[in-house]
Amino acid sequence: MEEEKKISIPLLVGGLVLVIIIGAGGIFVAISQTPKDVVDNTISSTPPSTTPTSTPPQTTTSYKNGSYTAEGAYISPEGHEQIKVQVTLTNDVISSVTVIPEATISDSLRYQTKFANGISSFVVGKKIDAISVSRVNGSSLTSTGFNAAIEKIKTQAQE
Amino acid sequence: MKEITFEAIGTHWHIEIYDQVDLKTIEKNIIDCCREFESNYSRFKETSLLSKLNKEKTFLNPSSEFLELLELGSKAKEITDGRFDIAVGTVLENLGYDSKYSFTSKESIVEKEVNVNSEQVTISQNTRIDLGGIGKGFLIDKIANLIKDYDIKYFFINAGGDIYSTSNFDKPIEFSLENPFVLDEAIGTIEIKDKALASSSSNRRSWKDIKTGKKFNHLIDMNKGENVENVAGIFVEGLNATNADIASTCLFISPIDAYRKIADFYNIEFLAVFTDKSYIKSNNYSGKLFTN
Repeated sequence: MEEEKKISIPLLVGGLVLVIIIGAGGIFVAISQTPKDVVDNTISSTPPSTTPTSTPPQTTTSYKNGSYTAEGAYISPEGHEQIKVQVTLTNDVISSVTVIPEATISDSLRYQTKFANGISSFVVGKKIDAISVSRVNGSSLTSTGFNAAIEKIKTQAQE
Repeated sequence: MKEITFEAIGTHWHIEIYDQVDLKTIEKNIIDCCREFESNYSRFKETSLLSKLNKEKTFLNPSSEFLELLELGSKAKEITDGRFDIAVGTVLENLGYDSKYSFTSKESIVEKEVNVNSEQVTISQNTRIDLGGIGKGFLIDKIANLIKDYDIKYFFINAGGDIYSTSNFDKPIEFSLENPFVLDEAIGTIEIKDKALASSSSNRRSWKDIKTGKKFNHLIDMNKGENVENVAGIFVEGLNATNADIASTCLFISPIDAYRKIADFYNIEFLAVFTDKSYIKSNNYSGKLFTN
């Protein structure tokens, strides 16, 4: 339970989209849209939303070798946070990533660590006993009117 | 154990009472109270106080309850930097979630201007209020107080998955946490005593636009005017249902780094499940999750 995901920041670096996750276990950089096989497996623990919808068009672009730098900012309850990321590309493969925390990152990390935990694991589902439906915290009994309406136009309105 | 079940404010209510009592008058009063609340504040009832405000844009001499609901909304707007906004009515209707359940999106101007004082409530021409995220929790607390007024101590109320529970003769009551991905599954359990549970997920009240096929749900980040993509479900544990309900919606539409502020303000603990099935929970959230 040590590894914790706190904040993720999508950054654009010369056509690449980087998702940076700052957690108690360190700072991870995942590449969501990169030349071919560079996708790091830390991507699997990234909330999908952090994969920006405005990713660059999927062309089989080759990127120029070299270093790319980008800065990302976000607002935390402790104020404005800033990080810098440097990526080196060699033949369309990221050969190095450097994340340079700026401003009050460490304070923010401490604060986030205190606050939440458990990100390294995933939820597991088990069947609910039908008898105990009245004892479910969720949305199962919600919106009878809504459901009735959906039912009428089911084929169009819902999967 | 006695049960009361009925439909109100668009959801199924299930109340269990463990004390030895004659339910007759209590049951009627509970149901009447819910019906009255619905006829006052439903966006879908043309004659409701809320519909009157949405239509006429001015409402004179609002009741203290109406004011309280609107104040809860403006507080939540402040805490979420505008992401939660009771002016969400217009957006929901634009997305097709209207009183006719047309599920056909349309374009219309969205305004968010709401002015509240004890003499009158005014909203701008293109503002429409919806009390989703506030009303249900508020009503659960109201019903809990009504039940307590009958000297009933041991009971729980489950209104469509949002819960207030005392205990079963001082023994905490266990509830399942619904799996946001598979509807007849749970991801864990939680035992509570004198507490409320709320949850928000996008899996139930979601619809596809009839014309475009685009999928929407009822949880809107009002700064963007659109749905949130990465959160699958939020589960909240709090001292009362009003705060639990509001906090749950606020968390759902907020980024992770805003969670603490919301949790502190509403004095709640939470579990947030993301669409990739990862989760985070606050340190004192008492629910136990299943493990592999």
